[in-house]
Amino acid sequence: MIDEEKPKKRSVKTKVFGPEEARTEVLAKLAAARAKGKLGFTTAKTAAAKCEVYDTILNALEAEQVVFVDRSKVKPKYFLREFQPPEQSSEAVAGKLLETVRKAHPTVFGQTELRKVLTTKEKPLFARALAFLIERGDLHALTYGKKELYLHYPSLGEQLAKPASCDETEPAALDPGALRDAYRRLVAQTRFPAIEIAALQREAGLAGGILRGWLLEEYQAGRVVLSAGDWSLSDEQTREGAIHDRGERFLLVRFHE
Amino acid sequence: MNSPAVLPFDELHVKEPRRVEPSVLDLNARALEQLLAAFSKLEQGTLPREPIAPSHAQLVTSEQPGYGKSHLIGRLFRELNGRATMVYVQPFQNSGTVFQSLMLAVVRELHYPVRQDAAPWEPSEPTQLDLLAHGVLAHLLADLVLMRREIETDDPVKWADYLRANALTAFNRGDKNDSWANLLRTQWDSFATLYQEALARRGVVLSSPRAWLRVLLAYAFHPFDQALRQACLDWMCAQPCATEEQERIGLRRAEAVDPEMSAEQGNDLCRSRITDLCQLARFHRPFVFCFDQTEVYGHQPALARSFGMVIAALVNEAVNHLTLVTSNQDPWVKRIALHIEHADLERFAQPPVTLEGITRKQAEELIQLRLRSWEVDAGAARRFADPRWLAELFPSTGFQMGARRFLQKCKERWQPELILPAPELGELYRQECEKLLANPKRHYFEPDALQWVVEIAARGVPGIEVERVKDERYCPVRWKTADAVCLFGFENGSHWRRWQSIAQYAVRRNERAHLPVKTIFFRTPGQRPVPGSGWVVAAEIEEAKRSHLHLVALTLDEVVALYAAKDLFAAAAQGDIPNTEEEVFVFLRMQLAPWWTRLGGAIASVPIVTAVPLMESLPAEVRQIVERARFLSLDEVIAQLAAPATREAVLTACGAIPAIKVHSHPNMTVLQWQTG
Repeated sequence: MIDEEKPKKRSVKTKVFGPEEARTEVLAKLAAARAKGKLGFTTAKTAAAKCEVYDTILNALEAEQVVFVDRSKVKPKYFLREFQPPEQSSEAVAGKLLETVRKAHPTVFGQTELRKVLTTKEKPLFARALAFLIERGDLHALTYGKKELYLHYPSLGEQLAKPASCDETEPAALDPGALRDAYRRLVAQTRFPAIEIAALQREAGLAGGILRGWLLEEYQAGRVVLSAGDWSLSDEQTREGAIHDRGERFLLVRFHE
Repeated sequence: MNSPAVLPFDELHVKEPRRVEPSVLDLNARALEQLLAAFSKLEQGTLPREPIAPSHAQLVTSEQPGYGKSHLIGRLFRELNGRATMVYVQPFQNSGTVFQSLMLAVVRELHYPVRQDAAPWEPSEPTQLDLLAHGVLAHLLADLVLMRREIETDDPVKWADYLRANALTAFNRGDKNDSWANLLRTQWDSFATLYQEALARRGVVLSSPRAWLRVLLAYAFHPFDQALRQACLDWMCAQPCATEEQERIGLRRAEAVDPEMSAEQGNDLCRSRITDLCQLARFHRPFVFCFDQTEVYGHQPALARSFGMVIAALVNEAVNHLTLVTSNQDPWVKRIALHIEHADLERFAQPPVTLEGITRKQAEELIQLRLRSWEVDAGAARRFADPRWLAELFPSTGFQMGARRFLQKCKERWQPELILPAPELGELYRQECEKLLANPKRHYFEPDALQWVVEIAARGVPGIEVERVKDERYCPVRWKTADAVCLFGFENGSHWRRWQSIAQYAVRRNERAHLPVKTIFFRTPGQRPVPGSGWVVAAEIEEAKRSHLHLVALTLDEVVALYAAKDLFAAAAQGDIPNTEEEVFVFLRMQLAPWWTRLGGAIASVPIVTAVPLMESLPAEVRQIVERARFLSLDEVIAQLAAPATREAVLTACGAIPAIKVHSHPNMTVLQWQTG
């Protein structure tokens, strides 16, 4: 007897491009690209649904630390972790800059000359590294017109037989309420909401380092606004109050009232 | 790599407030509201309004350059379009003629088309002064209609309302077939006293009411008679006009400006003209006087002092206006306010209006606005505004940075491969020249800019000793060189008697000096030639020109080259460029070296250069090309033109087309078509 089987329906099997396929493809392509990395996996012609799958998988692989994404350019570049380009740290760049300035002391450097010391990959970290060195007191900024020149501060200190740190007074504890009162008094005097940091320091009777550190934190948190003011019109006392951050220097502070 | 012709973040500075780009609405919204609130007090009541005296001038300050002062002015101008007569005042250079400078700025603004999108070369477009003049005449006539004196109508109230509501159309700009215009024109002499009476009834006190009404009538009813309209403008600026034009306007001899008037008298007259104009603003719209780039005054205490005096005079003496002063905080406190009289400083509202930085949310909106205006596709825009990058720049919600600094960051991110070191001063100077070429409002005679070049920029040039002099009748600046003395005068007018006096002065001045004395005056394109055709004294003036009177007839390119020098300095003073003022001076002394030689040397037989007329079809052709392509480089436009044209000619043509925005970049100049 012949089993009569019901004729099977012939179905057209559509190839579904799911997360698994995307994951396999991404990993294979990145492995092939090795240290060159890959700029993307989709083009303008790729279907929207497929783009979405790629995005999900790439985010997941990044979160799992299987894939490294370099976002220093507008278009992100993808690498397998083992082929991740060596990361440039600000500290390493700062070290390189400091060594150059230290060795050349008492020669002073402008930003252009200092930047030349760095490689193309290190250059994006220049501003951060410079600010770090100034804030730490390793470099001292001199101004000539609107230009800024830098020298090795500890070497200068040794030369002048003077301690590198200027804050000799016992730092007073910072009371935010008292500081705000001092700020308000200055605003009432000057009639401008942005006041000089150096003036605030004097009014509040605080050590410069403590005040600058606190203001920088408040600035990052968006509770005060730091602004450049006009360096060329400021006296030495005002300039001493300057806060240096990410390659910028600020003379004025405004509290959000 | 993004297309090199797409430069959404290239525009870091606002040079022309009226061409300001779409704005982030809540950025500096509070400052804008404060200014609008101050202005709204001037709009109380219906036209014609009661005189409304301003309590104070508004000072707008920025903690550092790049917070958007000029951008705020642009937004204010946009908000007040159709509600105010807005006057943008460049810094002045001569403290003895400050009101003349202000009046010149006012008159140039008034003699400009009302519609912001209208090109200045469209003579059929009514100017702001047309509206003001029609407003004054219509309201006075309406008063007469209502009083039923001399004029009988079937329904006085209806007709008076009609005249008040339709000032421009009621007279059809003086058309001979228009009955109201005809009534005004033909019956002027009979009604003249009544018009003055109507002015007095409304409490309008003018220094010369009859003359004002005559001038406004002549200007309003002769829209296509450029010579007559120019004579009206000259009268307003305290410049003499020819007897024939005086008669056509209907001015009596005592009402005309004396050609022999001294600079001091001219300045005083302009001061009263300004207060008169503000009185007349009651019939039309209030004025907004905007004094920008004030940092320039910080270099000359006498100018800072005069500036304070001008502001105080406006607040004390003039009605129906809002005066606005912008400055960066430090230059204001440390350089300008120090030299202003205490009583004058009291005329500024306290506390000042202060600007704020941009937050992350506003930054995101700014990116979208800029990219949309350059028609960048949504995908690229999304990739550009990567939240991770923005989070690095703005670590918290309340974090602020200067808008210009943020745009600089965007510019670096948009085309990192095109980021060059800060441009050299030569390149910045070239960019200033291009911007000026494309700005027709800056092609006129600007005595303050010219004086700045020969008085301030020339200081330190080897072999030239520059002095400000007070005892010379026509010339406030003197150069002494090893073998000659050069006297510089800045004369805007074209009256034969005045130029005869100047010619005689030049000859006389030379006779009583040990060294040869040359007297130098500048003439810009569009000014009438000196001597004029048919002048009886032409031979005498020509004789002086051959010996001691040097009339430097500037071409448009030369005008731009000189004005750009002052603009470059102003940019440094405001912190808009990284160079110091001293560096700019050193650069200008070299850049303008051919000028020092030309001005200090002997009078050469320089051919009289008349303005090269713009090829008539060029603006239309440029317009067509740019509108079609949306944005393209200047070289691409030139390549597509039917007939060859220079870069300068195309840029000048762009100046006549408000929809075209010029972006000067070190690598190329891009023209962008802007809609809306």
